[in-house]
Amino acid sequence: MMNSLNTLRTPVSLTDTPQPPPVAHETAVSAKHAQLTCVLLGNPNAGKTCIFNSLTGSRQRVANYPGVTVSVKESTVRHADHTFTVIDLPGTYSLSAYSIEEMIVQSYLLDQKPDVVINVVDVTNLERNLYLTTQLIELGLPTVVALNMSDEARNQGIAVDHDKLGRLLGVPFVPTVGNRGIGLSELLDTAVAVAEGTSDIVRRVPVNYGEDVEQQIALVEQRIEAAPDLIERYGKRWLAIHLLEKDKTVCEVIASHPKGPAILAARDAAAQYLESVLQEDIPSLFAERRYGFVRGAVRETVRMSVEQNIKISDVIDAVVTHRLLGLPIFIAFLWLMFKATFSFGEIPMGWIEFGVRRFGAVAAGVLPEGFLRGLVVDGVINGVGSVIIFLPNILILFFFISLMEDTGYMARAAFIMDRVMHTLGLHGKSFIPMVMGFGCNVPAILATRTLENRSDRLLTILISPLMSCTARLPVYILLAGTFFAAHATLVIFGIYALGIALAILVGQLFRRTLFRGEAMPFVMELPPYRIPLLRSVLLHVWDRAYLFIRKVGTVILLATIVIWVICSFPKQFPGSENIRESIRQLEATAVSTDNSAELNRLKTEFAEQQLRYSFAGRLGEQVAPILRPMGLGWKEGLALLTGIAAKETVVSTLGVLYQAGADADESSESLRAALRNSGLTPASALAMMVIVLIYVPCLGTITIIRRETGSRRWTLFAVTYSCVLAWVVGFTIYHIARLFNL
Amino acid sequence: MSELQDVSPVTQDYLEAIYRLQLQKRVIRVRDIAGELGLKAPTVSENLRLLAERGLVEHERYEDVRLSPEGARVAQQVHNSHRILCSFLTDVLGVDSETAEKDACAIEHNISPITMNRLAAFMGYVHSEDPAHTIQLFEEYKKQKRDAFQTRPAPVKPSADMKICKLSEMKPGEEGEIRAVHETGPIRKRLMEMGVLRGERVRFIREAPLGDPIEIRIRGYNLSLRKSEASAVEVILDGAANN
Repeated sequence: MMNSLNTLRTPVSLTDTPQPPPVAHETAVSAKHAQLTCVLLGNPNAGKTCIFNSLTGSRQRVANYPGVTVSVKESTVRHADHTFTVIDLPGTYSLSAYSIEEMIVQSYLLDQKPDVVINVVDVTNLERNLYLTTQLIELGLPTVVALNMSDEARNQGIAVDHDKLGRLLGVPFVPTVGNRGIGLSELLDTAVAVAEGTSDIVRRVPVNYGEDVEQQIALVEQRIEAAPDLIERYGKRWLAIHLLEKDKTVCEVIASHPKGPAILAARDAAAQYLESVLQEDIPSLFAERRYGFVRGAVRETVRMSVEQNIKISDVIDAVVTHRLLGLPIFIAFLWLMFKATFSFGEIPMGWIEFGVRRFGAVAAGVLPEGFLRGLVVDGVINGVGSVIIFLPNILILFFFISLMEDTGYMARAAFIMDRVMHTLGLHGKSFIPMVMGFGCNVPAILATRTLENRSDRLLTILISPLMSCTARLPVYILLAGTFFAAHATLVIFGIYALGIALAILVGQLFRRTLFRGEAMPFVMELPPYRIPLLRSVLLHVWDRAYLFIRKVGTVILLATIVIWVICSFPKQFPGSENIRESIRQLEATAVSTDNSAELNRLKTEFAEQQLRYSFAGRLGEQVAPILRPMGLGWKEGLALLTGIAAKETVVSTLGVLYQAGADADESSESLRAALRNSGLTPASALAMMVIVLIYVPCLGTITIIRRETGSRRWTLFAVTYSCVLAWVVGFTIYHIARLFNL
Repeated sequence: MSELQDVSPVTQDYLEAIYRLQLQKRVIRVRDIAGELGLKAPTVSENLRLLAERGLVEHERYEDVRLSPEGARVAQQVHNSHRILCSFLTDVLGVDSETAEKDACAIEHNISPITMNRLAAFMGYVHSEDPAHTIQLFEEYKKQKRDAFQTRPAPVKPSADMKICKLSEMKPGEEGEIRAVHETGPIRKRLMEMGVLRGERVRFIREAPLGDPIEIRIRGYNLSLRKSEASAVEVILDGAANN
């Protein structure tokens, strides 16, 4: 299991390979400590990421997705004459290998042995936060505690004697205000002191588990001495305690050791003895003692007057999680989110569309007629332009999602929705990946790491692509706007709702067939509400926008070029010379009204014929028979095929395909007109939207499913089931719509 | 030369008693020693004769008692050990002086020279430089370990005027104390880590709009959990005795 780390990015520099100090740096640096690996650790919601962002000044390298921190982020900070490699680990409540996040954190600490750990704790919830600290102390890594949100604590009348607390626990405590960068310099100074062993506060103060337990720990320790290699790596006491706690990772490590059986036998004997004497199971014994230890220290050092903020939070919760009002408020919020995304989004969309059109016109004027102009104007500008236009929607949607996360409303959403999630065999926490799924399925699938149980995770991964991501939105906007102009919002909302409904049905089906067994416990903190920092919200939004733009610049750009090429070649088709000749003749004669109509007809026919016989057309033809029962043709088939690269591409492909016959005006409006005149019915458009909603997740999502499930079989299953489901539901919707004469 | 372990505990007691008396008086008589040790004079007299034979004491019948140089050396050693043990027991462990005195007597005869030397060095450290600081640190340490040192409280026995219910069955606003967590495996572990432990105070805040997860307040923060999990937690309700 320790090798789960192999899937993570290894930090660039670790201390065991000290790197020479940067040349630009003037002061002489002691080579030994020039580089320090520093890990940020803490409970979810303690403000780790905030401290990380403040510490590293600029944002972290964009190696991950907004929302729940699930992958390991790192960045470099210069402080005095030290260079820190700061690593932001996922938030955890404990260091046992229980959820995937805990496993990541545990194995990171054990295998990478960072020079110093910065344990970020929320002062307003000190007791629960310090539980993790006791485990860190046990692990014996050099640790500094950042007493975060100390400003909030002061406002709430919480006074912490951090100096005394540090002396009691044997680790230095530094008060910080993460979002305003207060105390960070001192934090780094202390981190250096701790890493270099010059801090006078550092002592080893292990939790005393009481005589009986300590005796048994000693007995197990004795047996562990037979495995010095393990002691070297993990420490005797830590191993003994975690063995007694039946920690999965540790048990596996021990079991695979040659001396393992003897050690495990000693553990079993000790565990049996303790359970019989103390009449309590061992993990809770340890938990009780740790909490006892923490409470003792907190009692000595913390004075509280009133819990003001909690009261404000309680007032808000009394409304937003109210028995009757809670659900309507939540649904209203979701509605507002979508309304804002679509309605406000239209304004900047217009600007972008205008810009793209002008740019295309300029490019067309500059470039000579021929292959290059076709590639640049019709392929690249037209294709990329039709996708980049949706940037405002994505920004607005992610603004709302970030807002939900930063205020703490996301946890309430899980609280409100758990009943529903539970009935579909999922955890309330699955709701968060699901909501993320509305943004993009990639972070959604990453966010499933908050789920402890593998079958819960797999199930969420399988159904979260049914949450309609923003990439699919352009397709809906185009088709709904074209065929249901007056009721576009309603139709789009309906498509989203259909996705949710399907998720429920599919979830239940899978839970009853593929994943029998119990769902994991729903034990979740409801953090106090916080006023979100604009900066942090904008940071999330920017990350999202950056990813989108990058996707446009890479995958989508490439896809549009490929599509343009396969659509444009070969140029010849049966009878192509005849049409070309007729056009030439008409153009040669004087222009009259009759003539121009005939000319247009011929041009369109030429383009259509050319496309039909192009590589793309032949590919589309292969798919067309499957789609014909829904009134869709080879053009839609081709659009769907290219949409596998990225679903936005469906729009750009339709753009290239339908505008091929028209004159070069690549605005959405002209595409809409072209679609309206193409003979597609509203019913077919609905079916098309439904298929786009359900069928194969995009390449990015497929990649991430492969990575997160670690299984080719599950990935293949996800792709197959979604295609089959897409066809079945598309077909059904089409025929229902036909009944209503759409 | 006699080493401590070669001298019987009784002999050590005699030598120590004489040593202590010597610090107070110039002339020591048999009855003084008898008084110090709580023994009868003839017994003491007989034993002193034996000690004199071994060359530890200088004593003639009806005359005063004096330690031989060898006896004085042993006596001083015993006395030192006693003093260090007493100081350790009272100053560090906080045992009352009477018990300390008794325990020191019991330990001093059987303690190995190595342990005694280490203890002497440790007490030297405790009393060195900044004794107040050292002791204070330890005081804090002890306080903080108080919970660990104490024996576990037995589970509260249900009594007639005590209302016990499942956490899942509490009403909004009700408060109580966790009596037991009847759950095993990962659920229990997660509950433990989140601080849902025996003896902890909880307040029931609300049910979710759809009725299932509940929200409770524990250890100063809000936690939500499903009723199925909460039903494993037994709570002693407050104020039930008054109803």
